[in-house]
Amino acid sequence: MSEDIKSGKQVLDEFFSEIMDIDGIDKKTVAKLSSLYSEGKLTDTNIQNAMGQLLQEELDTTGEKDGKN
Amino acid sequence: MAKIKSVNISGIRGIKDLLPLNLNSNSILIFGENGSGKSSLTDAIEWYYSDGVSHLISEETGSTKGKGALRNLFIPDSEDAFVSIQYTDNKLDATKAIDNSLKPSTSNTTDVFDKYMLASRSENLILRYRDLVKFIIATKTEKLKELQNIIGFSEVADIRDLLKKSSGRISRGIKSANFDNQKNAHQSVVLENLGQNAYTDNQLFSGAKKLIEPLQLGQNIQTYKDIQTTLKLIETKEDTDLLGEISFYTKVGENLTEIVGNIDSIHSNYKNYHAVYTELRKDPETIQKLQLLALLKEGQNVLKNDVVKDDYCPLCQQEKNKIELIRELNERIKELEELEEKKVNLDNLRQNLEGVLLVNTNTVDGLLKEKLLKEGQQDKLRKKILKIKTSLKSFSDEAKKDLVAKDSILDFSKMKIDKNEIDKLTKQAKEIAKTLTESKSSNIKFHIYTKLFLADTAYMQYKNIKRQQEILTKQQATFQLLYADFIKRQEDALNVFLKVFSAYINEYYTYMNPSEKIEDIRIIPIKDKNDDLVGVTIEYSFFDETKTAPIAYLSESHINCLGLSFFLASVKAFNKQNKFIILDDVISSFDRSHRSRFAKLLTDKFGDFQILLLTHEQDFFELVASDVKRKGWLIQDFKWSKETGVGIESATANIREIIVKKFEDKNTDGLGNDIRVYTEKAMKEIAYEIKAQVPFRYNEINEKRMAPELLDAVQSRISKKGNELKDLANIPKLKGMPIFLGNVTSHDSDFTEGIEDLASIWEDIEKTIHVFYCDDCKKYISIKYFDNVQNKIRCGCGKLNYDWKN
Repeated sequence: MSEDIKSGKQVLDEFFSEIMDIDGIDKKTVAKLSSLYSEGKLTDTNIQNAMGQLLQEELDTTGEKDGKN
Repeated sequence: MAKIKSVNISGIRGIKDLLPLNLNSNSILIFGENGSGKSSLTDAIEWYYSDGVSHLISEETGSTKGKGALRNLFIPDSEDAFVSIQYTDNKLDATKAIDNSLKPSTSNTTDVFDKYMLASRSENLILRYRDLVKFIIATKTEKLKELQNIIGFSEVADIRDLLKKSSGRISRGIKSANFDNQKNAHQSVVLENLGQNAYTDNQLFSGAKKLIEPLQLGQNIQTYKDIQTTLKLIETKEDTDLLGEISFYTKVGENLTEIVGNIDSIHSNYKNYHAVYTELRKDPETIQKLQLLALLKEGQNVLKNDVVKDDYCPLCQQEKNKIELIRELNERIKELEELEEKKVNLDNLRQNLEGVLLVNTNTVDGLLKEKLLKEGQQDKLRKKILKIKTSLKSFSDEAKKDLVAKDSILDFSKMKIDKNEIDKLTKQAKEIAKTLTESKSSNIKFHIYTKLFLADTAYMQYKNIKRQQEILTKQQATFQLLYADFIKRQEDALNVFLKVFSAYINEYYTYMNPSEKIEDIRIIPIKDKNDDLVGVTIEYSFFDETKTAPIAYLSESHINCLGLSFFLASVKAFNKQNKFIILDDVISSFDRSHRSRFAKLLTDKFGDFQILLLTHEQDFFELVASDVKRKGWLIQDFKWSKETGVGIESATANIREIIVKKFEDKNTDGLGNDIRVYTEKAMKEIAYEIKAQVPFRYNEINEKRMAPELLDAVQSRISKKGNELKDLANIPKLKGMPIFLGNVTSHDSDFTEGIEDLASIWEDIEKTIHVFYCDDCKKYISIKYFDNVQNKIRCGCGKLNYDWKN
């Protein structure tokens, strides 16, 4: 029986190891989530902070690019 | 997988002195009256594995995880209480102790042991009667939670919720921000100053190029840098104040345009919220029901946690069957669940409203921080902007009102933000900005500088907003895709689990309830209207009709069977480290037929497991003892005494080890008595196997057979069957021993011969017993193995065989 059944950890590990292959996802968002999961820090607050940080980083990158042009 | 070779417990719960349990990996049936301390063994092992004792946490000790009530009251403060377990894999052997300050310590500090203990924590090792029906009577959501705990899916469910929550939050953020409205506001400034919209860089650059043409600078504009260079080139320092004023009014116009664009959204959000809020408050009973829901849930917890042990309602004190009471509570909670769903919906609507209010309040606060407003030069305008803030706050205040508050939130008709007034103010601000710009129209350089500056600033803001919208939309879409993929994986895994798990439950349940009309038991997932997994339920066929909610149709005995089946299925499915389980008084409400089938289920389906089966029921003990003994189980009685706490009346195998050890140590203390008890136990088994007859006695009195009586019965039986066995056994020699002389009185007083005398007696007793007992097959000669061709009585393997007249 146990061979067919996946434990919760197996389901999560599989999901996060294959997450980059899901069609249409934003790779930067997913990379942040994967990194939080592997560090055991995937919490609501950390996700909020990471997404906020990502937004800021991307806006800064666009701003810098505009500044150079 | 680990089995237990021996457990030694001291100073835990009812166990004061050392309680040794030498199992040698065998299963054991333990009998003990209520209060004999059987559960001390279970508590000790639970603490050993989980560092707490669940039933002590809820009842007595709160934050100490039950440890406060763990140490035996009568052991000295200087003494550690401990549980020592030796396993089939000796790398796991460990002693866990707890001192008087409740500080635990473990002797085995290896990684192997740590890993074993960590993995063992999620295994199903112990089942008590109190926990038997927990799953069966739980609500659908609790059932799912319980199952997810067992299969380690709690974290999966948590992460699924996180993905959903994140997607929802970003989606709400996008909606509240009303990015399109913000972009339009900035574009209107671009249009006003550039004479055209600029949605791309090139449109901005070409517009800027056209704008500066009258200045004939010969400057080409193809980049942002070019715009900055041009602005520097035509900048006039003396008009800085005027430019500041124009920028201020432009910003006021821009921000108020955004707010105007959001007013409809604020109104519609409030209208939706108000409608649902009012609907929920319409029925005055609803408020009471919401308060009642909290009470019912608490009552459910009280009953499930076994705070109330007997069959009565803890509120009205009326006699009431506990399962029946829980069933009624579940039904009433279910009735109110719909109401709770509505409340969750109301909370979501409130969050939407608060989100859009927050965005606009932040915009207003941003304006109020503008230098020109702070310096008090624009008092009239400041007051008007403050009025907008007050209007927004009045909405926020209403949204904060509790559903069960005395006064309802204000009607939608009374909650308007004056859009026309703000629109008027917007136009005025834009007009002032325009007038100020035009005031210097004769100064063509300044005029163009101002327009280019404002258009460039507005475009950059537009671009920033657009980028934010793109990034957040991308993040939200990603979370949505991840969530969709995740729930598919979770459901697939859960469905495989439920299918196989249901098959086990069905197998065990029908084994205990053959030829009954309950079959095809399944655990099936329940989804809500949004297709989200919200629980699981038990479904089964009852007289060929599909039914759910077992407690609605099944008797207590059947519900308990279902609970046991659930536990055993969990053991089969998920115990990977341990090959033992402890079943503590789990058959209390079983009738005789269920008890018998349960015992058979254990020996047939869990024969490879080591089972520690504890019971306080003499009937069950007697019923099971004869069956399991033949399967190699050990049998023990627990007794409690004031002096030593819980103690053991040793089984034959154990007592023999004690005797051998005492001879090794030349310890005669109680040795004579041990030998007599051992002989009595062995003779009882021999008498049973060869069908030696003793006079009839009732129930437990029947167990109190003294050695002389048993020796007589065995001698009488074998004498009639042939000389070979009679001569070899030489029973009369034993009967004449000082240890067996006398009567009941001698049973109570120990024999006090020297070690040599005892050794000689022991040798003769062992010799006699080994005439009946085969060391190879570990079985006594028995009528069961009677060879009716050769007329011989044999042991299980046939090594021992004696003439036996038929």
